Amino acid sequence: MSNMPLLTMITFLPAAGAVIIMLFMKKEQTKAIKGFATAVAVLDFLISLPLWFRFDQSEAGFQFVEKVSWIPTIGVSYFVGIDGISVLLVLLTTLTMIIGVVCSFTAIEEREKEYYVCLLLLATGMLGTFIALDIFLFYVFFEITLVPMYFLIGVWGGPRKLYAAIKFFLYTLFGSVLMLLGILAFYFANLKMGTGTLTFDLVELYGVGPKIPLSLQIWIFLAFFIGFAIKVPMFPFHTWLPDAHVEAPTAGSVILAGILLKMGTYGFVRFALPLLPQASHVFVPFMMLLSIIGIIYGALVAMAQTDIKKLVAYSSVSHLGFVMLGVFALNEQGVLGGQLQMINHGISTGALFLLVGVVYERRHTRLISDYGGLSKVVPVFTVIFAITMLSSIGLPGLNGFVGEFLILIGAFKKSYVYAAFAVIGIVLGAAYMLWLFQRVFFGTLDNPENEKLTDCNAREVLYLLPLVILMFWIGLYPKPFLGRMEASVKKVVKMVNAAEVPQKAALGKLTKLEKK
Amino acid sequence: MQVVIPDIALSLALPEIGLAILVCAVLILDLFVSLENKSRVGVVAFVGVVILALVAFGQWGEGARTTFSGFYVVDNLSVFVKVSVLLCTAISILLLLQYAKVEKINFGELYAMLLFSVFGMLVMASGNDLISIYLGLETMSISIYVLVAFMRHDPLSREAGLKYFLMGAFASGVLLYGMALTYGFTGTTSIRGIAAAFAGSGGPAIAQNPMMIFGLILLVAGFGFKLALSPFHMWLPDAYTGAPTPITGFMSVAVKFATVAALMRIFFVALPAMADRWNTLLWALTAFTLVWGNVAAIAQTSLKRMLAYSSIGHAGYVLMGVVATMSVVDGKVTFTDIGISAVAFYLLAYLFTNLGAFGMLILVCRDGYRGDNIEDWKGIGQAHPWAGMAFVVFLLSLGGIPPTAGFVGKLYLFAAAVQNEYYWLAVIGLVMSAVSMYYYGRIIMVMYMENRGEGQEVMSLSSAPSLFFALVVLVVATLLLGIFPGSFLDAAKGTVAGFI
Repeated sequence: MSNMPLLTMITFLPAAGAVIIMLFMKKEQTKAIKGFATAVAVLDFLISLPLWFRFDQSEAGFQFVEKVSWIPTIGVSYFVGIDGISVLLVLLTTLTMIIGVVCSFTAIEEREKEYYVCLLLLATGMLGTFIALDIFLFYVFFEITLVPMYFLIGVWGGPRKLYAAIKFFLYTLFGSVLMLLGILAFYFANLKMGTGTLTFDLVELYGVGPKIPLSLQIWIFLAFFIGFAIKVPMFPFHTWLPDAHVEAPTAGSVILAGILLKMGTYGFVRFALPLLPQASHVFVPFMMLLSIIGIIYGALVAMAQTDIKKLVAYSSVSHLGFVMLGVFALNEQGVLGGQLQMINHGISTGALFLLVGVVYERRHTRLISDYGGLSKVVPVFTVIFAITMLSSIGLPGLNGFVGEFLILIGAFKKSYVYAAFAVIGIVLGAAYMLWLFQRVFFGTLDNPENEKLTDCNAREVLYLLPLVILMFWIGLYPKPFLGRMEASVKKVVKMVNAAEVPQKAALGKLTKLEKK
Repeated sequence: MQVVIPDIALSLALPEIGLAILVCAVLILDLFVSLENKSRVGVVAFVGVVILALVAFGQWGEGARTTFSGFYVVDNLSVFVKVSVLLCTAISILLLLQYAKVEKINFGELYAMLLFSVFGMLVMASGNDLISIYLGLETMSISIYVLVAFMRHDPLSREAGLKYFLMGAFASGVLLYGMALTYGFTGTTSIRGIAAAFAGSGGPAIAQNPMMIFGLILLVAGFGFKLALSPFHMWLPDAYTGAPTPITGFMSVAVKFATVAALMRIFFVALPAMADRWNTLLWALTAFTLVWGNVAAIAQTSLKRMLAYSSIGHAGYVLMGVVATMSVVDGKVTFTDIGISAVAFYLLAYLFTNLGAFGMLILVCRDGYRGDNIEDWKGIGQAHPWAGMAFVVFLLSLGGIPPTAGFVGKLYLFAAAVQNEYYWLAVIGLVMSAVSMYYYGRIIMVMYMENRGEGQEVMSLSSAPSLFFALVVLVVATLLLGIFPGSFLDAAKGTVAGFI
């Protein structure tokens, strides 16, 4: 049992399912296809559960490691494994996949076969991104996810789907090709100054960063920054996100918000910080500034939205600003909070998109002004929405609070200015969410269309319930989650701070150079 | 006078000799085959080419050996190019079998001319002397002028042939003049001899001579024309669009292979003394080609024309590898293996990918209908899922998205550029590869995301087994090179042995 290539199985099971659907199922057998896709997603989640139970919390390094030589000519290996930083993201992905499949049963009514094939292929790409410990392998998976998502938005999207799909594709591709340049620069820097071997192996490369001169580190960091910041997306690279979210089908939005955006923040924690420690320190003020602009700007723009889905999309910009704020506090609390907030955002915002999808399916409108007084017609829906909204705001007792609290501590330790600005974002976050809730659920039920609304059915409650449970669980007893992440986060923070002392001298040199 | 008969190892030229025999056999066979059965001539040519590819492959890995008094060299690079060109020819013949019938150009001469041009390419790949290289180049070019104009009933094809001929002849002249100047200064046409002349005591003076520099510019311009690098690409869109589609695919790949091999031999082996100069020229051409080819492709509505422009862009990528081969360490010019092997691998990836893309265009050709407008492809993804997926694979590979051959090829090229510190070239190349996904992605969009209007029927596909077989091979190869590139990368690396 312990020798089974568990991570490989988890990653490639969805792809295998997709191939089976493609080859053996006719497109008219929609029921069979839905059933099969659900079975694959559930099975994938089940086999990913040992990652939760058999995960060694005290171990900071990688676990469940598999390594096979792949392209020895250029030093590429199939090297996968997880640590505290990725374990929860992998589990969140497998869980989100079930939800993504189940929530599409009635929402997607044409070309179902291709739809579920795309969803499952997307799952493989995302899981691969989180488990890859070879930078080449990571990049391959990182890029592969673009293709199914492009199809999901472009084929099953809303009225402006073509524009949104190509914008999403090109924008993120543009970022990732520049990141590739950074990866290659690091690869050759390692050849010249590091281990002296051609390798993409992350474990070998982790110690190399401090040996690279700061000037080169800064360039590499910029390349990584563009790639990951577009994916996150950080202000000012966020413009593709609202378009993609609004046009994508519900499952697409859930996956986009829940998982795909995390590939950017995860990239920073996994690659940018430990590989380029000195440069990371140099960029702290810059990153903090962009994060804070993102937090406040995202919240303000969200407040002005008339479309619920767009509001949630902009709230993502704000929330991910928080994540980045925590990560670039470069201390334990900040990074830990950022990590947890990634998961929290996946849960809360994923749930919000699902809820928007639920009403959209019934009313075919997402305009806030078309609703009002819904609490009287759809009580169950209202309760779930309320919990989700409060979790997104960060009410104590729910998951959002724990993450935001840790992030604020981290930011405060770096500088109270950062924390002060971030708090404004929390206030604004509460404002737009509560205002949204008030306009949609309270007030008079003046639109006769809304009187005919039916409450959540069993299937909908079923796929929302796990998320609600997680909101309470993380909110009330976050220890199992934080405990799993802690050791690895400490290790990353140690790696990025180990180089701090020489960094100041180097910085002095750099400023001198600039003066010259 | 004493006549010295040089030692000639004919066995080294076995693929060329075999090809010459094959051409004659095809021409004679053509006399005895009735007009309806000309495909049989094609089948004979196909079988012959496959056998020759195996023969050529047999010469791999035996080091550099020269024959015909040093006119001719067989090393790993030439073997790699020969095998690839023959492979490309074999697949092109498969594509031709169906297309020639549809377009009513199924004559024996078609296959004979194709093989003639291949003969020229093989000579170019092995040319170790300016004269043998030029002979190969002309044999190749003249045959291809004819092939481009082969659809005599189609004015576009005639126009394309004429344009290509005029520009090509001019370019050959330019190239020849460059070679003549080089000969004038060094007193020899032998590749090694030229290098020796530059390395000798008078070398630095020659390298500084303005007329020699002019000669070098002419060489670069001549190759620029042949490879269609911007700004020498003007003939290409028309020639590629007018030519029979399989020929377009064939020339976009095979001509690049042979010309780049000759270019590398002349510049790397004969003229390393002037490396800083030609490298700068090629750098500028590469940057310009990358930008122009990819940006101009965006505006095209004809698929064939779009692929024509995209092939300009890809010539830019290939040349990027050539440029990135040179590295200056402590003021001393060296040529690194990674650039050459990246060029070799990229060309191989491009072979399968681009032939595949053109194969898709052939798949929809029917009597008098070419399905060339991008709008014609609406709804293909739903009506013909397998064909749609094959096209998606080729397009992603052209754009350099994993897990396809094009991704590994581009990665390797960029790696070469980064290692030898051509950062800006790498940035241009990377950005342009994102730009290229705009127009490749547009084809995917039309196939899958736009629906046909009322009453418009989705195009039907040809069911020719030869075409089907070729496309399956191409898809599998494109994915194989993307997922398990190991042994191909090793082969590409092996091309360096004995070359420089």
